[in-house]
Amino acid sequence: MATEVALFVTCLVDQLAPEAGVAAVRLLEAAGCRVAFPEAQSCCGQPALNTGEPEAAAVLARHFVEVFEPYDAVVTPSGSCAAMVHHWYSRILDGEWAERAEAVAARTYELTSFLVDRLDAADRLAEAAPLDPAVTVTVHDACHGLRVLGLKSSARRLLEAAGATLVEMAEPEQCCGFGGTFAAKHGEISAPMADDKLAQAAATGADYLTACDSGCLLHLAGRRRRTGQGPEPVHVAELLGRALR
Amino acid sequence: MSVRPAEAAARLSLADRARRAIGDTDLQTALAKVTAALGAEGTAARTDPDMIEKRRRGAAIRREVLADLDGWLDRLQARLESIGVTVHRAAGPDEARRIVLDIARAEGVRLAVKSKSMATEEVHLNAALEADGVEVVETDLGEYIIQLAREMPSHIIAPAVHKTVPQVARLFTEAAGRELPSERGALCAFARERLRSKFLAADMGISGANFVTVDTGTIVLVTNEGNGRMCTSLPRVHVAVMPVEKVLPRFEDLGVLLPLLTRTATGQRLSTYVSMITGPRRPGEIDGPERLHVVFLDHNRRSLLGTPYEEMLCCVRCGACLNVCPVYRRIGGHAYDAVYSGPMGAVLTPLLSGGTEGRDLPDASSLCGACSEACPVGIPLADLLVRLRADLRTPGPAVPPAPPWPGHGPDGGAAPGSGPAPASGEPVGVAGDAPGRPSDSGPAARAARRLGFSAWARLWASPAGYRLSNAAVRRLGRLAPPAVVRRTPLVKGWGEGRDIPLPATRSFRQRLADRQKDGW
Amino acid sequence: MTDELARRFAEVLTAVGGRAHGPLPADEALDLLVQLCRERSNGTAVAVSTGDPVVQKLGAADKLAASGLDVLRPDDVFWRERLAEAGVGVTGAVTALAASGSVGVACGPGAPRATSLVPPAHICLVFRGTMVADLGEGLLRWAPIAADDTALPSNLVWVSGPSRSADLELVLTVGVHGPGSVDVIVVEEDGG
Repeated sequence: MATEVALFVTCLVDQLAPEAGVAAVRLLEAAGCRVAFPEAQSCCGQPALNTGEPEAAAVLARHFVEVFEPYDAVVTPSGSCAAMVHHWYSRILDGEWAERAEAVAARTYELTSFLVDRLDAADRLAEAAPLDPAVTVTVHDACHGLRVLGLKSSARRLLEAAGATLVEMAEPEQCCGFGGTFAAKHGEISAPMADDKLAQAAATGADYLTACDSGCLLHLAGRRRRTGQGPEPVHVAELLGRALR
Repeated sequence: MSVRPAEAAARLSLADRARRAIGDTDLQTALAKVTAALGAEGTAARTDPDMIEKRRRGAAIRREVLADLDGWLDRLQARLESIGVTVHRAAGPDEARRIVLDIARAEGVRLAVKSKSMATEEVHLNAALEADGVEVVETDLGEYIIQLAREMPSHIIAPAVHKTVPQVARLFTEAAGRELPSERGALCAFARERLRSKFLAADMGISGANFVTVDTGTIVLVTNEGNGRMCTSLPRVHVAVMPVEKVLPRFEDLGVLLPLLTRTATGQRLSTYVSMITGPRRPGEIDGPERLHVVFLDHNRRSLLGTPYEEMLCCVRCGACLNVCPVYRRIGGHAYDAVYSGPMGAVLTPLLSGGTEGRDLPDASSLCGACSEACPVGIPLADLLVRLRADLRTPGPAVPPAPPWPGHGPDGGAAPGSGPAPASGEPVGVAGDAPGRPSDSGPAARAARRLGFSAWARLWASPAGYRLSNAAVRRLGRLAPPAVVRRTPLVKGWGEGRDIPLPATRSFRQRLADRQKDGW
Repeated sequence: MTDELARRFAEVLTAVGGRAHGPLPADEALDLLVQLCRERSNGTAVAVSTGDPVVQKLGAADKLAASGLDVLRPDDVFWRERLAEAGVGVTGAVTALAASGSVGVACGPGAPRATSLVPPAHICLVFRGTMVADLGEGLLRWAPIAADDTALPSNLVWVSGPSRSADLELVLTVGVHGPGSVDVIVVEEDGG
């Protein structure tokens, strides 16, 4: 019996990095899920919260709750969006809305964590999407997924099970400098932080720099196009998705 | 490229100060060194099982105090007075300065020696004393260096970390009136000799307090150099400026908080000297202060009680958050243009100043959360930064002022703000940023932003709104000349260093829809 | 148990740049004290906290004077001036902490704060039986505190090795304001 999951694709993936969303669907299906896509979904509200407009974020939070609470599981290819739902929704909503948000948060998962920890599908996916061991990958631990959700091993597990060779950079947990609106507001600090991350990734000699957050990856890719430094940033889902038979 | 005098800093925006710091190769080297060295210690302390238990207990003790801070302060005052200590209460910097000046005048003080105290920097004490004709000498080596350089501290534990040995040699040569070599041993020997003469001649010693225990009335000072001991043992008067959150209920709580502080700050099991001072000199003793004063400093700390910011009062000033902050590592302490820098400074500065300083600091963070993770007493620093972004939307303080202490006079009151800027002679930059964030051009801009976000949220809470607005942006993005696109507010900042991602030709939704017909 | 404490104490104190000696019986400890004072003072005075309980119990001041050293006692009329020229300060300690290599030096009548602070060398005598594992234990000897209990000295300082600073490019320099030389002599048992 297939597990039904609702995909929260995130506004960023939807508009700017759809390949990660496509890959997420394909991986979930390969892992035996039936993927529903509630059309009414939009944004988790982080940009508003981070800019200091929690009331606007709350509007989107309530919308998210309404859209997704009919489902048993909500899966998103973004650690930071999942963290927003888990950590902030109950803080920016009151009373009944906060309770409903907590209930939905309890069923909201980041993609790799869902595949590995909930579905235990790492090996199944490895068979469906084997990676060439000659290909080396270095993992960036995106901040919100890491510190709010405790994501550390699931992406690596998927990649290693599929046969990829992992090479760790010196400080995988150091922030890449995206920080959502920070990247636009303080480009003068954000860009050097990207340089530090890309330099560390380059030092590993890896073919790909990967993470569970498209925000980080777009920011790093954009910087890499200017400086030419570092391996190609690509979403974990996409890396595996490309290998899906 | 050396760091320019602090005068220039006050005129530059945070972004410009950041750019300057990032371009300063000496500073970048120093920052990499200090954050790596101290950061490693903090990380090691975090995983030590003994430390894990101390973190838990330390956090609990701090919160126990905050649950009844005014009560603990009253009890502390009673205990201190019973052992011969004179207690003063300063609602804000004006009052704190006045109190210390009055003591100095009453005691005929001509020379004061100071142990490192962030609280005294917070209230700009040195300038006030100097304006009154008192020579004030910083005795912590790092603080002495920045006093000579007329700069602010750049790291809470290592205030002169941005200075190279040759730079210090130049400073000391000028102070010495003779050529000093660019060599650590010689420079330390000079400092030791020069400061020793000050210690022995000083009329008054001024310190802060790392902790003060209520049951015994003990003031605890932590140093590695011995200057703290000198300042509090040799002069005939000792004034300790105690921020109100430094109180601990019991003497034995020190067994938890002290190792927690020193291990997290520098990796040391204990700093070289931990002084526990209980009252002034006693009959039969031949040294120690004859008169001991403690100044309780509020400065908007009590206004945080009962708000989400209350947790900030748990801070033990270990500097762990600075050492792990990816922004601090790049821009250093001076870019914050405040007494406290790094994540803790970004939270404290707008709060303690009642919103008159540091309003733009909470924005200079990627909210990565490394600070919250590193904090030994569990302060959710990243969350507090997010809250400040919202609470600083309107002019004025982020939280309402606290009620004055019962029976406390109106002078210096509980009004937010740090009073008039001190007399000239104080390093500039200490007076802080212009009020409001650079992006705030006034009530119209603020209202526009709020309305804009509100409208955007409502638009995107409707499926049709989301679809249509994205379609419109996609079309506009293609039609508008790149030059215009590049100047659009958020896009502009992004484009400063990165290539701008274009909306995908087909959004995920379109790909999903197309899949029905044609497969992926 | 106390063997392990003494061993640990010596290990940590050495690691932070101090020197640990003993545990030694009282007479040997005093002989060592004389020898160290001679070496460290190099012809200058030896300041002694004669009012310190450990110093008193061991009769250290008299032993030093009898060995021909110039002993500076706190009741000396020129104590403060002469202290600035003294090469060594000798104190006792109430307790020692094994975990951090620390000694707890209490002040009192005849035991000024400055003895362990102003001279460039500090030599501290401590009884092995008073040694404890860490600061938490060390502080317990003053607990519980009654409201009017003044059992705590007016100044109690925990000294862990020589004075140090890393303010100059983060490289360690020893002996900045406090003593650059610290010796702790652990004495086997209470003096006779």
